[in-house]
Parts: sequence; C-alpha cells; structure tokens
Amino acid sequence: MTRTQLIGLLSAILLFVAIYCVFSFAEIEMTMLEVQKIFYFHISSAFTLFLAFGVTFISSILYLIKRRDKYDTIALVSTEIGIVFGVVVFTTGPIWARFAWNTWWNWEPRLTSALILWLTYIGYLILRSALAEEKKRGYSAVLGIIGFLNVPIVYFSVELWKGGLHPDTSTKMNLPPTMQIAWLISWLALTLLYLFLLMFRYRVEQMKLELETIQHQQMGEL
Amino acid sequence: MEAFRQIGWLIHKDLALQFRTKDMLALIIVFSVLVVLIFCFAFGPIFPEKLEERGKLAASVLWGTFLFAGIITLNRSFDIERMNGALHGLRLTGVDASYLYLSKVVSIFLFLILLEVVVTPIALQFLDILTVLPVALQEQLPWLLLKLIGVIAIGTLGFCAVGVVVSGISTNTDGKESLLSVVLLPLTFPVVMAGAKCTVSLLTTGGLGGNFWISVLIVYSLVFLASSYLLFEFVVEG
Repeated sequence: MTRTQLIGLLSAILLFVAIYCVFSFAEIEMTMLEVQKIFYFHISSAFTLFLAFGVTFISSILYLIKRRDKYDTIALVSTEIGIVFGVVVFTTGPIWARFAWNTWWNWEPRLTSALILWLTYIGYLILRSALAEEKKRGYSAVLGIIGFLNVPIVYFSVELWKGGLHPDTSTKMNLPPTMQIAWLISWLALTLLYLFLLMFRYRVEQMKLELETIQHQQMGEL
Repeated sequence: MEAFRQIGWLIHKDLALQFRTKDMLALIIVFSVLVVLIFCFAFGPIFPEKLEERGKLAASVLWGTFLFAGIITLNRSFDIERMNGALHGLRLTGVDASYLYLSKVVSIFLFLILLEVVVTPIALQFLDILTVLPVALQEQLPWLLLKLIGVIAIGTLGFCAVGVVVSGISTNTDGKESLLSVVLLPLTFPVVMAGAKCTVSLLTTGGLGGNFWISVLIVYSLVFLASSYLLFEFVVEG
C-alpha cells in the first residue's frame, strides 16, 4: 500500500468516525437543535480552505525562490482543492446563518474573508488557464502570493465594517467535551482528506507531465 | 540619483504616450461620466434626503466609477507595452524591473488622479450633494473637495500598486485582458471598502476624526506597494 492510499484509507475511516461522533456521540445543542451539526463540517471545511490557500502561498514563494516545478504543481492542486472546500463552506454557511441569525448571509468577517479569498483563487485558476505554458508558473506564483497577502487586510476591513458587533462564532472554545471531540475528529478527517486529495492530484499532474514528455519524444522520433 | 533619473524618464515616456493624442484621456473621462450618469438614472431623479444616505450613494458612485476607469486604464497602459514587444525592448536597455514598476505605478496614478479631479465635482453635482450638505461644510467646499481628492488619491495608489502587477500578468493572455477584472476586483476589495467609508465620513462630517478607515487605506497601499515592488521582477521575467 502506498503512502497516498494509506492516507486515503485513514481519512475515509476518520470520516465515518466523524459522522458517527457528530450524529450519535456529540450532544444536541439546545438552541439550534440538529441544525447545529452543520457546524462540525462547516468550520472544519473553512479551516481546510485556509490551510489549502496557505499551502498555495508557501509553495508559490518556494517556486519563486527555487524554481522547481513541483512547488508550482503543489500550488495548483492545493488551490483546486481549496476551491472545492470553499464550495462546502459557502453551502453550509448560509444554512447555518439562516438558523443562527435568521438570514442566509451574514457579513461575518471570517466568512467574508474566506469568500474574497475564494474568489481571488478562482481568478487565479482562470488566469492560469489562459496563460502560455512557459509563463504559467512564474505568473501563477506571483498571484498566489498577492492573493494570500490580502487576507489579513480583508479580515480587518470586514471586522471594522461590521463595527466589531458581529456575532461571535468561535463557540468551539466553550463547547462541551463531546462536541469538542466530535469537532476535532471532523477537522482531522477533513485535513487528512485534503492531504489525500493533494497527493492524489499531485500524482495525476506528474503523470500528465510524464505523458506529455513521452508524446514529445515520440513526435521527435517521427 | 541614476535611479531617479531613469524612473523620471520612464514616467515621462508613459505620460507622453498617454497624452500624445489625448484620445485616452477623453475616452476615459467620457466613460466615467457615463458610468456616473447610469448610477444617477438608477437611483434618481429624487435622491435620498438624509445626508448620510446621500453620502453613501456618492461614495459608491465615485468608487465604482474609478474602479472601472482604473481597470480600463491599466489594460490600455500594458497594451502599449505589449505591442511590438516594447517591454522587452525596454528591458534590453538594462532598466531595472523595479524602476519599471515604480514608473508604471506613478504614471497610471497621475493619469487616474487627473481623471478623478475632473469627474469628482461632476459626480457630486449630478448627485446634488450640495443641497443636503450642512452650511458649515458648504462654506468649506474647496477644502472638502481637496480632502476628498486626497483620500481618493491614497486609494488610487493602492489600486495602482496591485493593479500594475496583475495587469502585467493578464496582458500575456493573448487577447483575454478582460481577465484582469476577475483577478483584480477581489484584490481591491479593502481599497473600495475603506475608500468608500472615508468618503462617506468626509461628506457627512467634513473630516476623518476617529476614523480607522484611512489607516486601512494607507496600510493596504503600503503593503501592496512593497510586495508588488518585490514581485514585479518575476512578472517581467515571466
């Protein structure tokens, strides 16, 4: 069994454990009842989204310093996975907001900064796909860095915009032990899932490159 | 000193290209006035009576207009460099990439400031802001306009700082320059937010007292100016 398969298997097992913990082990929250269960996957996905774009940021810096293609590939696949986790965050977020704050969208700083970051990296992928092959890597790395630098400023701006009165969503600190365990397992499961997808997509990209090299060689022979 | 001389010449070259035919300036001013008109048709002819509401409307009209105008200017500015490989030619002269970056930021900034100086009073007039301004503010109108242009200038600098890098990248997409807006708009989110808030504060109180937004504008401009300055070399090299 390869390392990727092992992590994939581990994340699959942990996902089942997380689902069990969320629905059977963690106690039901008294105000929001069953809807609160969204919290475990919403927050964990948001953490993974920031982690994914953080990896893009670091890989982009490393690419510009070392000029090795593998860092560019990591940045690319991490962005793609981050965007998928973003879809989860922006699907579960409004459902949570509807029940918690009686509105489908709340301009909560964390949620808003995640949205801006998500849109920035969608732009990154669109622009990347339009760039010529030889320029793609360097330009993408520059965008990967600038996009992430914007996060603290966006976060601070939205917090100021809200006048510091936004509802405190950092309830994990006051969670009962069963909920805390369920949340931690969900978070770990999604982080491992991210890692698995990253390694898997990285391998696919490598294989694509290998295939292209072989095709070029064959064309040369012809 | 040599650096300043080179940057000065590059700025001179950019401005000469922009103003040589006056076409670009005329086009962008007409475009901006049209955008303001569209906003006025959408919200008018009777605008909100409350000063704060009117201020918010004016801020959104001004910043929305300048954002669109800025994107067109950036696209145009790099289009000229791309034509006939002018940028490569410049690099062959041995000019440092950071000088190129600074000159581009300054020339686009100056061009946009000129536009803003012309369009801001027109927009405020179209929105009939004078009728709701308190008498004390009406008496200090030139001073108020000056402060407003100052705030817009800081925001424009931040916009240019990041816009030049993104524009430098997007011009390499073979006719897909419209992609610039997809990437640039999320990045300029703090500028629009902080700039609009400062504008509302100026139009309603005449000052920025106790307003943190001006700090956000300045911090954003400085962070992006510094990071883009460092990264522009990679944009020129590819």
